[in-house]
Amino acid sequence: MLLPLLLSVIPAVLVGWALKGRLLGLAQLRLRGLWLIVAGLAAQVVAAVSAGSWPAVANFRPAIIVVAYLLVLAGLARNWRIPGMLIVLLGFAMNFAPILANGGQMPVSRETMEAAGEGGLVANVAEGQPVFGSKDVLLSQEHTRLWMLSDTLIIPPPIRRVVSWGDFVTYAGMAYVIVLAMRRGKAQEQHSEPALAAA
Amino acid sequence: MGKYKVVVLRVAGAVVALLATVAAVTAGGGMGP
Repeated sequence: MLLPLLLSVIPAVLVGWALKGRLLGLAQLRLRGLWLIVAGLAAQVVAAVSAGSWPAVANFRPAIIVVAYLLVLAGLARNWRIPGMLIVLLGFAMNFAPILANGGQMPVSRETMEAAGEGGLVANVAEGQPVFGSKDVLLSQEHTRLWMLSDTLIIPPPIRRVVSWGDFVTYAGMAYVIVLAMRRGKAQEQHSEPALAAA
Repeated sequence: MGKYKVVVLRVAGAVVALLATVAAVTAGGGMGP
C-alpha cells in the first residue's frame, strides 16, 4: 500500500487542493462492486504468500493470480463510468497482458532485481520459479513474452521497488480520478453547508 | 453522529477503497521489500 499512497493518492490530493478542489468530492464517489476488488486483492495475497510457504497452494498459484485479476477486472468494469477510471483499466490491461502471456505470473528478471539492489530475494530462486511475497516469476528477458510490459522499471532507494509501466499508468489514472472528484467537490461546495465545505 | 463526522468517515472510506483498487491492479505496488 505504500507505493500507491506515495505515487498516487498523496500527490493527487495535493494537486487537487492546489486546483482548489475539495476532499468532499471523494466522499461522493460511489465505488460499486468493491467486494470484487477486495476479494481479488485477498486472492493475490494468498498467491504471493503461497510461494515457499504453502506448497499445496503454490501449485495453483498461476490460476489463483489469473482468477484474482478477473475479480479485479469485474470490479473495475462496474466503475468504468467514474471519470478517469478508464485510465486505471488501461493500466490493468497493461499488467494483465504479460501475466496471461507468461502463464499466470508477472515476469521479472534476475538482472532487474539485482539492479534494484534486491538480488538477495532471488538468490536461491531458479529460472521459472515464483518469487516469494509477490505475483512474480523469475524469467530472463529472452524467455519473457511482452517483456516491455513486465516488471522492468526500478524505483531507486529509499523505496527500491521493481514495477511495470502498467503500474505507473494505474497510479496516474487513480490520481486523475481523485483530482477530478475533488474538483467536482469544489463545484458542489457552492451548494453545500459550511461544515461540509470545509472538508 | 454529526454531519461533519459522517463526511470525514466517507472521505476516509473512499481513500481506503481507492488505495485497495490501486493495490489490486498493481498487486501491492511492484516487486520489492
